Amino acid sequence: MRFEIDVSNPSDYPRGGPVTVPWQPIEQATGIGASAFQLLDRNGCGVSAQIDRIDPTDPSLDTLVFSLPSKAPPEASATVFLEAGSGARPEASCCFPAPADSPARVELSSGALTVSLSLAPCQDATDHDWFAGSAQSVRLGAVEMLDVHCSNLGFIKHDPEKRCMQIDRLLLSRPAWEELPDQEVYLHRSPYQLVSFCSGPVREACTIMSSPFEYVYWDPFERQSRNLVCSFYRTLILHRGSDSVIEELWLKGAAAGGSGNPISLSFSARYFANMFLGHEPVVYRFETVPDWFAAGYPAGDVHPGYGFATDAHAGHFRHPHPGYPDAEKAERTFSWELRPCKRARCLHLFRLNGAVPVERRAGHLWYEEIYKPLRAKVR
Amino acid sequence: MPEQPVFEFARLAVEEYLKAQDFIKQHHSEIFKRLADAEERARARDAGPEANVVFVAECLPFVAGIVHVGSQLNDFREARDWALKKLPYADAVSVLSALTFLYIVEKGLRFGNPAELPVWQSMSHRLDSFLAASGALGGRASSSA
Repeated sequence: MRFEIDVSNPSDYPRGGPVTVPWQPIEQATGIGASAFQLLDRNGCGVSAQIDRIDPTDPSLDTLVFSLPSKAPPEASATVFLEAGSGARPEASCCFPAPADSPARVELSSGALTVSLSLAPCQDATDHDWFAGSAQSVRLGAVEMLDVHCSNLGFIKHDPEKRCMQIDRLLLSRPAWEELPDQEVYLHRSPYQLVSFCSGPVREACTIMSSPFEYVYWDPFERQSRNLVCSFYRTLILHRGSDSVIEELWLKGAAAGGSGNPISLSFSARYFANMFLGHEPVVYRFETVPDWFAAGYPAGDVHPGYGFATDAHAGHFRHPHPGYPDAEKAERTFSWELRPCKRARCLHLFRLNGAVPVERRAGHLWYEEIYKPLRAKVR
Repeated sequence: MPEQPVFEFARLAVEEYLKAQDFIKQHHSEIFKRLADAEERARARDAGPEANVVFVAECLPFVAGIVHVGSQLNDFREARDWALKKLPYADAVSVLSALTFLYIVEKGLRFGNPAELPVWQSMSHRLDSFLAASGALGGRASSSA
């Protein structure tokens, strides 16, 4: 039996590209299993697709991802067809389970952009143990985006402090009746664990989980302190050929001792970056637009840029990061905080000398990837 | 438009404002190797003006690296403000890169080891031709080696 998946384009111009849709409802509605499916276009040709197991302990997060074979018309739908497959097609999904021993770092690549994500707090023989959860290398082609000018020179060692996409601190708000201030959790010195790594024809993705930490709050009904054991989850995604990383964040807590179902908790995450775009980069941020911003270098002959977009709203953009211990290199540091949320979808953009300036590209990606993504549903 | 010869203008930019001369001196051999590679590639193309443009275009991102990595933030600010004052309608960062490029080549001509001299001369010739063609900085009225 063949099922139709409608992909609706909310924009007033034709759109294509990758489409994501939760797999579990489709599996339940169609009875087609993740291990034997195929997607076809109107002509019966195979469509590149994969099913990513984001968290092996939570099948509700399984995601079907496919590349729309042709652009969906403005404010209308395109259709692909799902049916049970008899065997593995060359372009069909593949999903790898997490390795038994979590590695010290994980590398994701879109073909154009390669991100090396540090899971361990320290990657070398030094005692510099503050890199957990950061991308210590982001390469666009052969150029190291975190230290573009050193990379262009080629004979100077990269700054060992360089990193980006690091969530160094979480703020966990307490209930309204609580007298204590919000709980701060610092994540940069505790190792992450690799939960899953998925690679297929459409994208590469990995999910990492922070070391567990306790969240304590006062239960007014039972009149006692309660503890939840929490882990912070991050899924990082690179679509093939893309110049950006999409990231999904959530916080899971469960009663100490493992009784009861895990619950989703509210958090605000602080991002930290140490990247050298050049002396005095320009920050593009509209005060009234908390959804995206960019930092770039429009002057001179090399134009690196970084852009960020989110559906959780970002607070004040600090450059340099206050209190950074190395005053000489403080100009390389940036930080910003997401507003409290239970789940956030973010995007990190890396540009070098593109025809479209970084701020325009960041705004456009916010619109397409965060605000108005292509939506799919089984008909 | 500056009154002084261009090399003096470049020396001011690098030594008095950017204070990048020690960095350039310290990494002389790596800088020479990289520029010589670009020169070699330009020579392999042909001898026409297009090769000069390719040579300059290939070297400028590298020289921009020297400007940013070889200078401290405060010195860079002063250098940029000075360049803006001298050439108010130009991109000050590009001006600093161009002047640093001139400075490096001129230093190579004057103080490079004899084995490097023909390559520095060739690079200098390319820069001269490029600047003459573009009319940049009023041509390169610099002192010779």
